[in-house]
Amino acid sequence: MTNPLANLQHAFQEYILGDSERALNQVESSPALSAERRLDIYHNAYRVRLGELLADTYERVMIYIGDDNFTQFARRYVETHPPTSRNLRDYGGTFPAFLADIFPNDAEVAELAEMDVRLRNAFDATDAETLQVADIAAIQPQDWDAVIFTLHPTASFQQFHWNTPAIWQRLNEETAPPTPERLNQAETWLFWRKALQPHFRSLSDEESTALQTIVEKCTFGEVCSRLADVYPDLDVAQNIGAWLRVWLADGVLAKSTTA
Amino acid sequence: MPTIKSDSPGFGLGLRTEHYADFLQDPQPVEWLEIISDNFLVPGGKPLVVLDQIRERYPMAMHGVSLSIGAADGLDMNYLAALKKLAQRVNPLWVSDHLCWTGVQGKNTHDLLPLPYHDQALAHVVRQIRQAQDFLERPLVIENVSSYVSFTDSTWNEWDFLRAVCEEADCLLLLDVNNIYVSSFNHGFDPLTYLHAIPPQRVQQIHLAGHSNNGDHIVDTHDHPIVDPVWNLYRAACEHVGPVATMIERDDHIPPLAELLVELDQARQIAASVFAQKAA
Repeated sequence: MTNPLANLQHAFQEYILGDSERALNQVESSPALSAERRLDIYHNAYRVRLGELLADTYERVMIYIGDDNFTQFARRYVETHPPTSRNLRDYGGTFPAFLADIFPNDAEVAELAEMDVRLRNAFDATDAETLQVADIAAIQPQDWDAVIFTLHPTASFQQFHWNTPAIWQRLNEETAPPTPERLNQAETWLFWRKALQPHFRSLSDEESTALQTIVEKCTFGEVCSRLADVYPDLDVAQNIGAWLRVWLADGVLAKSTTA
Repeated sequence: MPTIKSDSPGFGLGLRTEHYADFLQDPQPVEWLEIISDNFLVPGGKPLVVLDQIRERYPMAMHGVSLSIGAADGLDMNYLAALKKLAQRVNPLWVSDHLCWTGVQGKNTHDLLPLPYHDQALAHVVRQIRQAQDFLERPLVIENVSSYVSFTDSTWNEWDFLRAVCEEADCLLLLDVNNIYVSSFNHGFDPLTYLHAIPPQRVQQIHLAGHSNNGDHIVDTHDHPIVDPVWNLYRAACEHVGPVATMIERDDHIPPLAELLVELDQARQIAASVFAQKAA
């Protein structure tokens, strides 16, 4: 390579990432430290920094599986996942999937990690004005069918096959978590931000269907039709009225709703 | 006409989440605050709301850690665009980052990695600082980093390289006095030689911080109070530079605000004694 600066930076980064030791030839030893020990300061700091970041993001996972286990798996993740973003906020998003491979028989661990990162993301996700009662009141009766509601950009869904939210809550309260139990039927939970803080709550199958249909940009008329199709026994008008009041109070819908 | 530094706003602290409530509840005896720009390059939510609230009360400087101004691969224009947008929101006293690189080839180590000091590196970093300044439409304030390695192909010493960078790029300097001390220990040079090579008219700001002494090397950890040799070097910096914006960085083992304010008072007293002597 004819570019000395690029050559040095590639070699130095490879040393930090553990990919090669060719940078040893480009670093001077000092009276106190060999070139290897000097480079190792960077090599080690990189691992400590990213490990601490994962421990911070996945705080409940660390409590659940224990510090030693967590440190070991975080180290393994860091070795195989160099950051690619300028923003440290973006690092570690695939750690839940990584944990799912490590704990195939304890899926609550990956679900717990997914909760941690989902709450983190809701904390500083994009701002948007929330839909207000007055906005809804302004919709003319004949226009309701065509209204397309928009979910707030901080809102997302997570499906649980285990009693993970109960585990998360106990860990968050610094009390002993319940025994992990596989659910008879998967549950969908809603995550969003309210008054600047991340929130989450369980959804009934019916409410979940309503919200997921809204995500698909269906009209209010289509949301109601789908509910009536999927749940023939459901009083659609009564239920969706009640849900709408809750969604408005909680800031789950964004202003960009169109009529 | 070369870039002129703005007048010193006085003494400040790095804004950290641990002290948000202190700054929001009561007026605190600091003239300005320094934010880590990267902590606010987020889509939305509480960080930006609190930033706006505290900005209403205090002037702010923006200090970044991911510009990677010395990366051989070139600048990340998306990052610069995000920084410019944040600067429009904050209207900062100035925007600073480090004379370093953080990653190449699409990877980022999130560390402040030193440059080799040779002509090609100088030309490259000068070109990129000018490019960044043109894009941001403001002078950059460039900080000297602590380093733990030196390179076989360096042909300059660090202080001459730093001076050449700021003069050729026409940028300003954030002189980190602790970093000079840390690097002088790790590389075996005289910190005063370094300090006295720095053009005073380019020094916009001074950083003070603590470090971890591991016996055979020192690491710039920002997790301890400032040590006496660094205070002594700060005194020398005040003598060399004149009145200059000074702040304390603490990034780990963050104490109550009151403790940092006492430490900041020590900086005020040193500066005051230097300028009283000069006036006499």
